[in-house]
Amino acid sequence: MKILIVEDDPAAAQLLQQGLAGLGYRSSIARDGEHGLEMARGGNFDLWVVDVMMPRMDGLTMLRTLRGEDDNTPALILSALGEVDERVEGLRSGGDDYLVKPYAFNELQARIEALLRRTRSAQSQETVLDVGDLKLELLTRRVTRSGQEIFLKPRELRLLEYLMRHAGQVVTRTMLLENVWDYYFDPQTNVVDVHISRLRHQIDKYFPSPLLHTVRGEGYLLRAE
Amino acid sequence: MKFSDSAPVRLIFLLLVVYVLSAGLIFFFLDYQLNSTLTKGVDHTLSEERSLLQLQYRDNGTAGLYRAIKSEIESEGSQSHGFRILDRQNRVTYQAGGLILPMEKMFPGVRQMEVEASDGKSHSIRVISFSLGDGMTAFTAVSVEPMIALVRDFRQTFILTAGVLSLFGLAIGIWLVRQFRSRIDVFNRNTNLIMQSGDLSSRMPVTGNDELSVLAGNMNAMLERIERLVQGIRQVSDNIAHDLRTPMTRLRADVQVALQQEDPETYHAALKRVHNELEKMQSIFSSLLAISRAESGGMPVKRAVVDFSELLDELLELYEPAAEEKGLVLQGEVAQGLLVYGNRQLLAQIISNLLDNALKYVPPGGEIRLGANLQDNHIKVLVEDGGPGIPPEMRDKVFERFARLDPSRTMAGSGLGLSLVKAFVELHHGSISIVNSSLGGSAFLLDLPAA
Repeated sequence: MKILIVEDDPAAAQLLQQGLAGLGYRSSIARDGEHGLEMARGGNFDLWVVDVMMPRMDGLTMLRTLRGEDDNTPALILSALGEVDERVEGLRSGGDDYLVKPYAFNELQARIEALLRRTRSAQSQETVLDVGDLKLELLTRRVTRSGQEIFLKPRELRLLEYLMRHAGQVVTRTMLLENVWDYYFDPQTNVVDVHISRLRHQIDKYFPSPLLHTVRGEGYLLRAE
Repeated sequence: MKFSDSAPVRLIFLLLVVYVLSAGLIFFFLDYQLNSTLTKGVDHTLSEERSLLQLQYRDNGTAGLYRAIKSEIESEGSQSHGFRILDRQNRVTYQAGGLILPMEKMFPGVRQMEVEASDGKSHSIRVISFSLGDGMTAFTAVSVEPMIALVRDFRQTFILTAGVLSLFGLAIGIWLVRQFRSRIDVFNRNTNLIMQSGDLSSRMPVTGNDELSVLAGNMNAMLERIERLVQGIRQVSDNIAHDLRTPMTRLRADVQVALQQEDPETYHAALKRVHNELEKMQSIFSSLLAISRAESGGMPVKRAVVDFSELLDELLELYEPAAEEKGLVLQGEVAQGLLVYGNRQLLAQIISNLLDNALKYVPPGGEIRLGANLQDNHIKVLVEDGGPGIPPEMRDKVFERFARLDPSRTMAGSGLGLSLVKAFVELHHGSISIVNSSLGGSAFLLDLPAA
């Protein structure tokens, strides 16, 4: 797995590189959008992590150019701009996810893993998701565990589907709020936690091995032991 | 700027050229018309004289002929006429009138020529020849000098009038240009003054209601908007500087104290506190930025028609488990079909902040109610709870930044939530106030214009 970091602040880029190395990812640094464009064209990267405001060429222009060349490498936008509309603009320019600076490193980690994972599973058009003995039939929206049907509300289903699509990786509360509820702000109340514990009650309570785990300080993880 | 670069000068110059060209065209047309009409008149006189003379000669012979010529000269004036009669052998038998005709032979049609008159002056004349019968030939001529004088008068009058009019037009043009430029100069002076001094409170003078005044009005409106934006930005930076100073001071002290120790555990603990403090500062920073930008109108917001009923139902569904977990009852009474023209994320954040607030302050066993309905094209949203409530004297203050009801600050929170709510509500042209709740606690009444 090789990641391209496009970031004009050398200190920030280096810290990011070190952090990624700690997770086992190799990465290269491009110092501005033009340089990033050049490296992305020649580099065979699995993911681009792109800053927005950079000299010479900004990150969004770089992404638009590369998307125009039919390069669909996943891209994570890191931006100091956090307004709602700027996020929309970033995603429209070809970003696959958007994170506002300053960010928590584990938030970044979770999103990077989600994006890398997405490319691997994007090709297959599944009709059934399964994690251990938990099954979600996408067409009928039927959930079963060990053959026993579990009845979920629509939102719980969406929550479960997102967790199952990201099975084996940590998803953060913010990722859940964004992807399951489509909210781009963090409520002060621990609303997501309570939804998770309700879901956990539904899918784990009557079964010997739990599937839905809490990763302290980071988020949640759906995984068969 | 050169005089010829001025837009109105060019316009007036162009108008003058067009005026002179059309005046010239009219002149040539009228001149031609006048000439041909007068010439036709002369020729008509000539042919009438011919008929008269031929008739007199036929009826009364030479005596009648001469009598007719004499009376013609008497009535028309001798200087302007000329008659000449030749006999069979082309000898001059009779000559009369001031114009001395030199012809010897008949010719066809009318001739124009110069002859000398008896007074010694040269005359332009038109002359015809005709036969009287018995081999007699007559020549009759009329002077066109009066006609030439008339044409000359016409030309003089026309050129004089056109010239005077041109000069008058030019003078009016120059006056208009000056008038226009003096007003433009005022604009330029004012804009230069604003650019140099940076004083955005100055305005353009608006006089009357012509295009320039409309322009001045628009420039003033623009200045006002810029002034407001700049003030907003100034306020943003002032606020941020002021409000972040406290946590930064705390942070610095903590780091300094930690640096004086050498124990790794103290370091670790200090770093953890620093991290927490930084997270808090970050959240304060983004809230402040959002509030200030929303208040100054500098926040770019994409708006659309939002199904507000659906949004409220979604939020109720999102918060219901958390409320239940805290032993609270969250009830919704949302009318269907409420539409707001606005930004879904900001609208959601408004309600979410109010619900967060209620969940924080209502003790277990209490009740929270979210109601929304349409009244006179306004959407009224009531978020009320059975919590401790807000004393009336504090009701305006809670929307101020860093307002805290609890001076001991035992409850977590930045004190920015309600300011953010107010700023976002006002961004949607709505208002928010606190009223008495039937549940005994606080009640936030939101008024949003319906889409």
